Parts: sequence; C-alpha cells; structure tokens
Amino acid sequence: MECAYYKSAHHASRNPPVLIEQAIFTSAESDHAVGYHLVARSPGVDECDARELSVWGPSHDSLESSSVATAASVNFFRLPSGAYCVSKTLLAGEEYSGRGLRTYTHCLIVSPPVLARFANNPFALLRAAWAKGLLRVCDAVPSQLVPFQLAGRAAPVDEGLIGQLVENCGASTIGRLIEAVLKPLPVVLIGVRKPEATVAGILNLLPLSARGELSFATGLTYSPRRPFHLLISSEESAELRRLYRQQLVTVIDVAPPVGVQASPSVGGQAAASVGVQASACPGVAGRPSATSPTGWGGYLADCIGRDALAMLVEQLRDRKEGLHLTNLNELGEHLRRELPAYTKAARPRAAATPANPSDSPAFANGASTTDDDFLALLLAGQPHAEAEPESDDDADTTGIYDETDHAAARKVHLQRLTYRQAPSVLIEVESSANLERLEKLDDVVFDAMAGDERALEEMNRLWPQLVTELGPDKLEESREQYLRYSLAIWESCLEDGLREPDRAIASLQVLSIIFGER
Amino acid sequence: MKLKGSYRVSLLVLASALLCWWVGASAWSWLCGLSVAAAAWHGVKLVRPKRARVARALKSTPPHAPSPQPLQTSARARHQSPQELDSLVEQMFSDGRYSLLLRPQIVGDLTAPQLQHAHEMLADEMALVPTGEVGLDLTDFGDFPGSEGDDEVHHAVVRVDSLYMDRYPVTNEQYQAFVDAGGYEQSSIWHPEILPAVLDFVDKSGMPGPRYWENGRYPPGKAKHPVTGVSWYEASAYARWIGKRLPSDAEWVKAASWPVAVGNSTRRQRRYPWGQAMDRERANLWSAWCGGAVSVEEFPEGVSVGGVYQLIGNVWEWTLGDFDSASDDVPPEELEQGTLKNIRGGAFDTYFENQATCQFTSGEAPLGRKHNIGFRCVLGTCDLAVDPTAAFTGQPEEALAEYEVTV
Amino acid sequence: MSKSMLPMESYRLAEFAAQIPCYICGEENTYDAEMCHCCQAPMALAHQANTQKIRPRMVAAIGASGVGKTVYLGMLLDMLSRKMRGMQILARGAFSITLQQTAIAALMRREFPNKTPNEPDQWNWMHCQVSMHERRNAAELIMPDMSGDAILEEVDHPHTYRVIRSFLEKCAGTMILIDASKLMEGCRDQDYFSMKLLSYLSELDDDPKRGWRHRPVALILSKADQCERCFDDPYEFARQHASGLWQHCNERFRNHQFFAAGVAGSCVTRYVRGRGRVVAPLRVEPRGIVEPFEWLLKQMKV
Repeated sequence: MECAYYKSAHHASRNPPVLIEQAIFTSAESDHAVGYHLVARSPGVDECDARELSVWGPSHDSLESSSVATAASVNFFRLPSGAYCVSKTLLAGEEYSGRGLRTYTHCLIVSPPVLARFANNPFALLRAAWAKGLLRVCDAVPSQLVPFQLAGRAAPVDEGLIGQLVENCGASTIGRLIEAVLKPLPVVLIGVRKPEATVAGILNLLPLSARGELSFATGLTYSPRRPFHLLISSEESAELRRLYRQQLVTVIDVAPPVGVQASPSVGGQAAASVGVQASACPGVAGRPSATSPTGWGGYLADCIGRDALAMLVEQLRDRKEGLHLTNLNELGEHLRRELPAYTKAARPRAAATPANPSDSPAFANGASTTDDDFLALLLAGQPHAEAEPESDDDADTTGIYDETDHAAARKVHLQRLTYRQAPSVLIEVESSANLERLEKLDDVVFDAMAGDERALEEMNRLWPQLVTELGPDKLEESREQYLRYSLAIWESCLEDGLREPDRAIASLQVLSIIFGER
Repeated sequence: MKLKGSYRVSLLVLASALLCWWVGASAWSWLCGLSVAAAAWHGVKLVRPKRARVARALKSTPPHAPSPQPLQTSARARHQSPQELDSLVEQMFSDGRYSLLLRPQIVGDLTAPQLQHAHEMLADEMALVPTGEVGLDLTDFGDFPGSEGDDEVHHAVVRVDSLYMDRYPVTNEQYQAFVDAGGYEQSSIWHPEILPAVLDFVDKSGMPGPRYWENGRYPPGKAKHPVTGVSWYEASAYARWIGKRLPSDAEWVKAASWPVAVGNSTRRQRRYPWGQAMDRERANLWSAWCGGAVSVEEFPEGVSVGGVYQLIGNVWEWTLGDFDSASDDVPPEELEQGTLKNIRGGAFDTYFENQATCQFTSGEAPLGRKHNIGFRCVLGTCDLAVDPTAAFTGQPEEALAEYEVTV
Repeated sequence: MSKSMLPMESYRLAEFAAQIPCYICGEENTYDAEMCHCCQAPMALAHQANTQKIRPRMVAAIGASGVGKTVYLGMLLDMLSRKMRGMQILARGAFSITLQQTAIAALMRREFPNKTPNEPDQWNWMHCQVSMHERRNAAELIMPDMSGDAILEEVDHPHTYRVIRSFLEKCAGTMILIDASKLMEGCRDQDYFSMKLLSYLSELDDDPKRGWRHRPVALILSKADQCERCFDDPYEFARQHASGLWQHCNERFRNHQFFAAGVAGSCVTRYVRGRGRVVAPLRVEPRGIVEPFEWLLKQMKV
C-alpha cells in the first residue's frame, strides 16, 4: 500500500520529480526472515533489484574496521534495472541474536537522471541525503520505508578534492592508480588515510559520464560475492596477499614512505618515490613500478605534473556523453599528445600575469574542434592511432579553452587548494523555476563563503529578495544547510590543521546575512 | 523406629528452635517459625497431591504469622523423659543431623556417649577449613573484551573464618532422609518467596523430590551418587533442615585452593585441590570418559589438602553467591535475566579443564534443576560447641602443617 | 641432469595449464586457484579428491541464522578428533581445522564464535576422514559451515547462492538444526524456517529412488540445555512445539529422526562496551552432539 507521503510526492507537481527509493540491509528478525537480509524497502524497489541488493549487502565482519568510531563505508554500484545503489554501511545497533553490533547498510536507489544532477557523484548525493536527515540509524529498523525526493545538484568537479589527492599521493601515483582502475581487475588501495576523500577524489578525476561505471566501497573487505571494482583496505592482510598471489586483484599502496613528502608539483619521476607500489605486478605489493602510466592515467599525471590542472578540470566538466571507462584510455592518449603544446603556450602568459588566473594563458586558446572530432571517432569505434601527431607549432590551435571560457578555471588555485563542498542544496521545491532560483542562491552563497566579495554583495541583495518572494518557510531548510556547510568548513579546517581566518570570516558574514543579524 | 505423636512434636519443636536460632533469626521470626512448623505438622502439613488445599493453606498461614501457641524452646525439651530424649537424639543421628546436637544450647543435654558419637560423626563427615585469607576472582569475565580493567576490581582478598565442610557432596541417600522426613512440606525451612514454587519441585512421577528421582526414591544403585536435579532453593532447604548451610564462594575456594601465606601480602593458592596442573585421574570431568556422575567415593586422589573430596568434577556445587556477569554499565535486571547463583567445581561433562579450576565460577538460575548440579554443606565452627583443633585428630600431617602456617 | 629434468618440467607446466573442475559446482578452474571462481568453494577439495583417488561424501549442517551451526560443528569435530563412541575424525588439510579451532577458541573464552558471514569465500570447510570401530574402511566426508542467512536467502530465492544449491544436491545426508529454546518460547519462526528448508530439499531432488525423500535427515533440536525437557524425548518435544515440521517430516521424509543437543550449560546476556548486548556461554558441557552424526553415518552406510 502506498503511503500518503508517496502519493503526495507524486502529485506535488505536473512533472513529478524522480524519487529516490530506499532499502535497509542488516541483521534483524523480520516477519519473513532472520539474520542478514533486506529488512525493509520502499515500494518502488523492484524484486530484481532487491535480490541484487541482498547479494551485494555486507554482512557480519564485512567492514574493514571493527571500531564503532571508524567503521563506515560508502558503497556504490549499478543495479540490474539501470538505477544506481548509493549506500552507507555502519556498525549500528545490536545484532538481534546477541552477537555484538550489527552491520547496517542504508541503500538509496537512485535513477541515472537524479545522480546526474549530482554530477554522478555518489558522495555529493549521500551528503545531501545525510543533511536532510534521511540516513539516521534507528535501533528498531523501520518496517516501512518511503521514497523521497532530493532537490539540488553538485558541482561537476570538486577541485579541492583533486588538490587533496594530488597533495597526498603525487602525480605519478595518481596516474598509475587511475590506470589500474581502468583495467578489469578489482583495485584495492592500501595505506589510505581518508578513504572517502580519496575515492571521491578519484571519482573527480573521471569524466562525468564514466563515473557511474566505477563501483566502489570505501570500507568493506574484499569478497568475490560483492564485485566492487575499487576498494580501500586498512592494511595489507593475509587475505590480500592471497588475492594478489592469485592475480585476482591489483593492490596499490598509496602511503608515502616515512620522511618523504609528496608534492603536487613534482612530476612522474619524483612521484615514483612516494610510493605507487605493485600495481603492474600483482603479488608483490610494495614494489614501485618502473613504467610511467599510460592512457587516461598518464594524461592525468602529465596534467598534474605540468601544472595544467585547469585544462584537466575543464575536460572533466565537459558533459560529453558516451565516454566510458573502456574508452577513456584512448582519449587520454590523444589528450596527452596535445598537452605539451597547450602548456608551452600557457607558460609565458602565466608568468606575465600570475595574479589573475582568469587571464591566464592556460585558458587562452581552444582546440575544441580537434578534440570533438577525435571524440566522434572514438565513440564511433575508430582506433585513435589515426589521431594527429603532436606538434609544438600547433599551440595556437590546440588549446581547449578560449578567452571567454574561464568562469570555472578561475577557481583553480593549485598552490592553495581549498576543500570545498557544494552546500547542501536540498530544498523542497514546487517548480523548476524556484529550483533554479535556489540553485543560483546556492552558487552565490558558495562563492561568498569562498571569499568572493562580489558574491557577498550579490547575496546581500538576493537573500532578502528570495525571502520576500518565496517566503521564509521555503528558505528555512536552505538556511539550515548553509549553517551545516559552514560547520563543515570549520570542521575540515580543524581536521587539516589549517587555520584560515579569511574563510571563517566569509562564512560568518554569510551567516549573519541569512540569520538577519545585519 | 517409629516415634509416637508427642515425641514427634517435641522433636519438631526442638529442631525448629535450633534451626531458627542458627539462621540468626530475630526472636519474632523464631517464634513465627516455630508456630508455623508446629501448625504444619499438625494441621496444615503440605500434602503434595492436594495442591489446591496446599495452596490455600500456604496463603492462610504466612511463614511469619504470629503464633497463638506459647513459646517452646529447648528448655521445654528438658522436661521430656530421658527415654524420649534418647529416641530423639537417635533419630537425629540416623538422619545425619548431628550438627544440630553439637550446638552450645543442646550439647549440655547429651550424654557422654552421645556427645562422643556426635563428635565422631562430625569428624567423619566434615573437614575443617582453618581461618585465613583467600584470593578470590570476583568475575570470571575478566578476560572478556571490553571488561579489561584494574586487577583490583576483579580480584579480592577475603578473610574466612574457620568452618567445617562436608567431605563429600550430599548423596542421594542423604537427601532421601530429607524427603522422607517431609522436608518439602515444611514451609519454615524454605525461603518465603519460593513457597509457591515448592509445589513444582517434583520428580519424574510428580512426587516431591529431585528431578531425576521416581516415586520419591532415588534411582536404584545410586545411593552414593551425588544428588542432582535440585534447585538452589532445595539445596538451601536441605542445608537448613540438617542444621548446616551452603558455603559462601570464599569458603568454597579456600577449602579447595588451600591458600598458604608466603609473605605479608601474598599467598600461594592451588589451581586444583591437588596442585597446579590438571590430572585426569583425579577428577571426573569430560576427559575422564565416565559419561555421567559417579559415586562420591570415587576419584579419591582428587582430595584437597583439608580432606574434602570431589571439589573438582563429578557435579557442580551450588554456593551462596550471586553470579557476577560483569556487564559494563547495565544492571542485570535490564538484561532480561534474573540473578543467577554461583556454581563451582565443574562436572562430569565439563569439557574444558580451565572451567574446572578452584577459581572458576559459572552461574545457573536458582530454580534450575540440572542433571549435573549438586551441593555440599558447611558449618561455621563458631556455631558449634567443639574445639576446632580437636577435629584435626587423625587428619593428614600435611593439613596440620598448613594449619600451623596459615592460622 | 638437466635432460632428466625437462620432461618433469613439461609435465608440470601441462598440469598447471589444465583446468580443474570444482568439486562442488563442477565449474572449470585454473590449477592454482584457491577458490572456485564460480561458487567460492575451496579448490583444495578437488585437489584432494584427485590425488587420493576417492570421492568424499558430503554431509550438510543447515538451519536458520543463529541456531548454532558453527558451535555444533566445531564441537562435533573437536569431540570426534579426540575419539568418542568408537568414532574418530582426522582432518585432511590445515583448512579443515580452522572451523574447529575458531569455535573452540571462542568457547574457551566463554564467547560464542562470530556470526558466519554471508560471503561464501569466508566460510570454513572441513574435509575429514571418519573411522568407526565397526567399519573396516574409513570414510571421507566434506562438511561446510554455511551461513544461515545465506541458506535462507537461497531457499527464498533459489540460485542466489550457487554453492549452497550445488552442495545440497550432492549431499548424502543432512543435519537440520532447530532452536529448541525458541520453540519452547512459542516462537513459530523456527518451525517455518525448517519447513522451508525441507521443502527446498524435496524440490531439489525428487527422484523417487535417490531423492531427498530417501536420504537421511537428522533433525537436531539445538540449545536444548535451555529447555531440559527436550532431552527427555526430542520426538515428543518436536510434536508438541514444532507440529508443522513434525508433520512435514513424517509425510515427506522416510528416513528422519529427532535429536536434542546442547553445548552451553547456561548462557547470560552481557552488555559489553563497544559491542552492545552479547550472549555468552557460562560453561561448556556438550550433550547430544555425537549421536545425530553417528546415526546419520549409519544411515548413509558410510
């Protein structure tokens, strides 16, 4: 029987928003089963997906960590219906038969259009759902779950996360890591300090259309039963050794050796010393690979090594359809050939006007036609060997960006990468017009909190206007989300040990506007 | 020998008076106990097959109801004829209730041969455990993850006054005397809160008695086997009836581990009554392959220093203590289980040898009537008009040596 | 010298190149695979069967989640490895001892072993040699400790766990564990779960001559230590408290028998910081553990 919420959600507007279904996989005694099973699901989860959720569902001892404080995993995979499962696994509640804490997984079943709104980024969607209070764990598993709508969106690329990844791993490590991810064998990363941030960073290094193909779990143990492609392991266990002895997984140690500081500015050579270990040769974890990464991984490594992140970011932002994990390497090789020309052209102008990234020559000239042609060939199944040979002389014509297209690139600050998350954009909306206005507000708030004076002025004007037009009730949730976002900024600053008074003041100014103190 | 009605009343009164005095009851409860005992004997004796009537009787005669009868004490017993007294004493000897006769209040009424016989019975059936300190593990979950903590929290040193402990667990034969004497129908010897449950303490045939008996009789050929299938309450009632009590945990551990002081604050305690290592020849555990309880006279090699047999193995033994499940932060009542009583020593089916040490405690619901739980009784020397040192006569020299060291 | 080595090397290379079928599901696997890529059963079972030229028989211990399969199997193996009632078990391969080791280590600490994970690659398998005093030849047996959650999932949605289906198809007999303490409380779930299992078995192989109808099924009322009456007459206990199961067995299974078994003398619920409520055994005194297995082997004419 459909609940009232479900009906009202469907009839809220003429174009019903796509709903997110829910399911909970944990250990409990329910009417039809005991132990680990799908104990609850919303009506829209079909039988086929439900069975798949049971197969992938992590049971007892599936979490890498056994401590309540640290045991958590964000998981992502595709279901037979074509929808995605974004789930969070925790140790929560007591196992019904008195065997300690139970492994509790809350699954969100998300249709591709909804995930696309969140830039195919499960972390952004999960953060939004969490901020809305939807992932709260109850001792008693709810007998009935209802679908819900989640308004909002996420930025296509989070440069902050990429920056963190570059800082922690180095260019070459990232290159090899991505190279391994694009191969068929599952990849297990060890030596990772922040599993969620690392996987989110890796995801940000893939084009939007390919992200949905990468299944991952940030804190579950490896099991053939749950064929996640990317996993994080807390340590190199006997189980892992067994797995790569059998060449069933690729294990990569991303922890830099003691005393070696990874630097984003160093190129492939130096990065080799910071510890990409045993990617090419399974079974020998901890052994640096002598070969440099190729394909998309090589392209990423080159971009990072040549300070061409802006180009990379723009490439990642491009919403070209048809790019898959299987053909990324070819695109990567093609882009690599164009990269030297691009950077050569970018360098003199960057030196001339370093203070204003928007005028940077790195974004000066575009070669979009070449790129698009290649992509068309690629999608048509043509071998990339036909691509134009690289030439330094083509610099003027191979740049991807033109002068006017620098709105995104202005946010790239390689030396001081800020950790930014889209503010939670979960507002119950009634029309797409309202949604757009609220999204605009989000953008302004986002920029204002990042220290943009103009955005702050804009917000000063926009906020009262929206309060008048939409009413304070509709903005109440936004206000709450902005507050949470400010707190998140504060927490991330504390976590990283960086004191950033500018950001704190900017956040306070924003808060003082939305809470009417000014 | 069958006693006449008046003698039986006198005997009952005397026994009840002694019992109440011994359990430390106040004068008021003493009076109540006596009156209930007398009433039970004459008018409202608990008759098993007539359950409804019994239930009504229990309801109408609460154990602490004031008695309309005048107080009857041992002084009144003195007014009995010498023949009557002799018969009474003989009956008590045959029931094994010699310890009641050795009470300071009674001992003066005994003839010299009777006193001698009582002393002999005491020496034969009970062993002296001298005064001293014993180290006691307060919880057996010390090694449970999450229970780690200060050793002092989980370990205590307890001073134990000297006492006599049964050399053997109570046997079927001994328990038969209690059943035959109507022990299950004497409400005064049962804990008041358990009286309604006493009606359920029946054997296979529905007669009052241990769970594995039939028609009020123990299984043939098992006279010397320890009585099993008795709850903690039945064990307590028997102990009261016979003039003794169940041992505390410290007393049990002291008798078994026989601590010897080796310094001002340290003691050497045995892991098993015979020493530090398990010896499968000395205890009836699972590894002994007996497959069930055996006579209390078997496994004599497992005797403790003080001369107590089968403390380890054969059957678990009820003690007075409550089981400490050592839950963190949550009181036991919130864990949906009642208080458990301690059992010690392991049984014929105890699989792991580390669960049959002197220190190991397990727990069981006090109403549980398990196939592998029995008991033995103790008696404080302060309750008897006996010189404890005299009891060492005929004891092993080793025991005397230990006694000198420790006391 | 090197000449004499060459044929051997070639032979070994050829051996490594050959595919080996999984002993449980029959899928081809590479020579050095440790687990079957299809059902995740250990490939050691196939290697041992090949090298010893014998076909081990299979016995299942199944039941719902939390009925005590791991404890029962662990205890059974430990008791029989010490020889009991004229029976002895000798493990084949180190992996065969893991189940016994983990179960006994937990019980010695007064804990129950951890819940068996759903993932088949995490299950413990046992390949052993069983000798009985009245038989001249020892028998080879394979017994896995399968997760109750997975068993129920397979029963509810057949083909979810290939390893369970393949294994049960080949089993010569089974032990079905039912939680007697829950039956005693009046909980009907145990009744329903065991009926589901029996229905699943019936449908798995309904051959009129060799099907499950004729294979021996030992129905073990586990945790009987918490309801002593169960030991007195397990058949009568099942008739009273699991009437559906009792009827089902009488109608569908010609060769079945009820047993009572218990491992812990008494249990207590404790609250442990960081772990929540935990049920712990207060002592270990196995009862009725070997009898069902002995009966099963006799019926299987091992």
